Amino acid sequence: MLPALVGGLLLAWPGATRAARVLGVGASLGSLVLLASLLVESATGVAVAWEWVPALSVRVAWRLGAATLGLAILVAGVGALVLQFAGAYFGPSQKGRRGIALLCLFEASMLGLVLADDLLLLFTFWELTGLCSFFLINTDADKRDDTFASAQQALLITVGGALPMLLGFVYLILETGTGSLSALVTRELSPGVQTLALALILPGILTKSAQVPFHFWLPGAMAAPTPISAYLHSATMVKAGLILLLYLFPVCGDSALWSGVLIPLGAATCIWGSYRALGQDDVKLLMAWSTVSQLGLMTITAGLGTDLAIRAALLHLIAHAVFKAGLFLGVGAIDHATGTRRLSQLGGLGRRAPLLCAVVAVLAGSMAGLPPFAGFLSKELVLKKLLLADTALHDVAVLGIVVGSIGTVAYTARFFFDCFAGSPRSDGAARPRRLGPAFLVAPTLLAVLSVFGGLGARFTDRWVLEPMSAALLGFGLDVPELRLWHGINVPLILSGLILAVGFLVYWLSERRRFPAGPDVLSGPRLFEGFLLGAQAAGGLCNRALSGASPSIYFALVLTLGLATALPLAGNLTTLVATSWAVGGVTVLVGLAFALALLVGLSSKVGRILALTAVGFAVAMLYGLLNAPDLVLTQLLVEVLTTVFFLLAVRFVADREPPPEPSRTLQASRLAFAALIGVAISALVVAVQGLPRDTRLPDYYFQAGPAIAEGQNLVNLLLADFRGLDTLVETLVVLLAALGSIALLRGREFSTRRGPREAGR
Amino acid sequence: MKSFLLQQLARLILPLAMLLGLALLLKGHDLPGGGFVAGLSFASAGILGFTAYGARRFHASVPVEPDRVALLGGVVVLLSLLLPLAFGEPGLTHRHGLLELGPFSWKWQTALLFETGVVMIVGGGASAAALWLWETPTRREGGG
Repeated sequence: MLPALVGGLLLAWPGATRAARVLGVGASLGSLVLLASLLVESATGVAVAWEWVPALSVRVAWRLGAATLGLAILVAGVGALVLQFAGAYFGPSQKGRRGIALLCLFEASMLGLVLADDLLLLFTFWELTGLCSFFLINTDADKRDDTFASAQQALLITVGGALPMLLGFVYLILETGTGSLSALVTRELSPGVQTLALALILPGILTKSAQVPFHFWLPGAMAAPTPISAYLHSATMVKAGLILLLYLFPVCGDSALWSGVLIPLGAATCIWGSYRALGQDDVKLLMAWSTVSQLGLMTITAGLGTDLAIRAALLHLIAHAVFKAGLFLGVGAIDHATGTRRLSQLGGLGRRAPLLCAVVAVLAGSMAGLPPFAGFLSKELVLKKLLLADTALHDVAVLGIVVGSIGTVAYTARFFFDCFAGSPRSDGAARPRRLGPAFLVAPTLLAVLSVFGGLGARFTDRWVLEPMSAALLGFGLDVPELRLWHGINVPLILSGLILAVGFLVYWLSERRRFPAGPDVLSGPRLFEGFLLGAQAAGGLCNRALSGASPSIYFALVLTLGLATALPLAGNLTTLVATSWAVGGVTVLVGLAFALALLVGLSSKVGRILALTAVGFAVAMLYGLLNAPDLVLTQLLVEVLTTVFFLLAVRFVADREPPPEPSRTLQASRLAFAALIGVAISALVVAVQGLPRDTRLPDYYFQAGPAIAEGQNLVNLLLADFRGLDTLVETLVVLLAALGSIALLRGREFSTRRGPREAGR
Repeated sequence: MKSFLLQQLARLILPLAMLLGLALLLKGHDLPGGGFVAGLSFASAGILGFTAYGARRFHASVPVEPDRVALLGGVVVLLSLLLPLAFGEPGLTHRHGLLELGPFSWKWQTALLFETGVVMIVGGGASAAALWLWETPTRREGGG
């Protein structure tokens, strides 16, 4: 299913710009058609593509159903339109090719997120969207210095929020024994489990969907080129949180936390977003804050926590995706035509670009909730459910939605009239560039959808809302409830009031601009503080730990290691019982002699050779213990170690010897060495006294010849049974070798000043 | 630096060390040995090579530089991790069997591929690091 898209993607990387554009749109349309055909076949259930990690029963599986497929179609459809627009917007440029390729990747991960059945798979795609958006926001990083900071902020905030979410997923999996969403929704979870899972998952949702106090990354992400913002902030990135919320409602919806967290935060977000949008001069920032506000609205609606409210949130999510994508693209078109995005420089575009004006009018009408557009339907439904629900914090929800909506009407009016009415306030606005059809196709289609969705209310209800919400919630409504005209009822009156007050606010605010002011609720400062704090803490640790002589680390590690072995001290009695063989004693004497040489010799080379002799003596001990493998390894390692020591000594041969350490230091070192030596010997003896557990050796003795068809168990363990460990170890060896080469290559070898020699 | 005695010794020891490495690698499954020791044996051979005959002659006579061998070894090891996946088995799955050719028979093991990678990493990595240590002062003397 997705391969079509991925194939297109791979081709989009090296291809030329034009080819990339066509391929991008083609891939989106292709997946659109595929998804639609699945929908027509009314495919349901879970399609397993691949058992990913069978040991953890993680599967690459897609959840098929009206709800997921519908959302996926939304993602792919808006994706196709945005890609088409992006092709025109970027023109033939390297940046454009990169942008389109990244958009394709992003679309693929978003589709994966929407369709994923397994929680861990969903999480993977969740992080992929975050990563892609990081690169997408960075598209213009050469242009503005703070672009990179914004992208980084978006990434860190959303990824940071996702970490507890992963914990929440794992908790759910452990608690229920399944990671499959389609299985989860049928489980009845106890309220305690629901609350804990939700508490862990919510940070991820709230950060991704830009709720107060994590909302600030979203306006910051406006540093991205307009088509990218259009996609990130309408149908995809910011909706990921809400979509997950809708998916999880059947799982965790009963928790008290659901309303308790979502409604207040949603209300704060909704009101604050509207207020901030009113104060913006940059049209794109206005749209960004409007997105924040609308996300708040949807969060409140979902937070009402009734099945019907979830329906309303779903409808508004779709309507918003359509009109907001269109509006962002419209803003891109305005920007392209006039060269400015400032309201204070625009104006009078209505006569100069009538088609664009009409398109934007429809989309803006939909956003403000004017009849007969789709936005009106969804907002009406939201209001209706709001009045029906009687949850805790109901008043907060009403307040949030009403005030937020009033603000929405006001800023929409301000955006529209300042752009298109009055007289132009700059040269660019007075003589706008002609916009080719490539710039208008996508917004126009989205506007048509908005009109059609509203006028064809029954159609929308029957073919869009009903099947999707039925699949999501597990039951359908018999009576179609979407209608443009319900007769005069409370939601309609409320709607009218909101519109009236909204226009009043707009009219008042035209005379006296709302202050743009600093974003007091937001946390860029907080965020920066956090980053700086983390760096400072790191520096502190570094200062505290570095600079000490390596011998101190060595002493610390040895002492700590031995301290953990203290409980074994009771076994020391076996020392007496140990038998002393003649061969062993001989080797020990040789060992002692070599050690004496090691201490006594003064020349470096002599000492190295003495060290080797010690190693050989140890190898002989192994031989006495019937361990030919160890003998072989020990001998070869000793030889190579000697060679390396000799080679390394050449660097320090002509260097001044370090100053003789003081007598007390020498004495303390000697005492410490003796202590450690005695302690380790004691440890070895003590371990001998432990009872043996032979289960593991027995298993290997039996399984080695049987499964791996070999006689050398040591090697079977290394190569076969614990192959993965060996693999990682060899890679470490590889890295160490290459790393030492890199060090040698990068270092100036000078005899004048070498690094301080470690105390030996 | 070159010593006649060492060169004569190397003529004797080099092939022996390489043979030992090969034997350790091939027989490691049943007798003492295995990839790691075999790699060490090869590394000793390599180091003996350039210490006896000098780095220049070493570079001229080896077909592939040791650091490349180590990198290739990494590829081989990863390959033996991934290859079984292509046949629908978990990574690092090993197979074995008996190949009989008249009176001769060879007990083949796919683990041998993995072991070969280990040999390449250990042998190549160790001799590459030693070679760099060996060559670095020479460069300073040559350059300055």
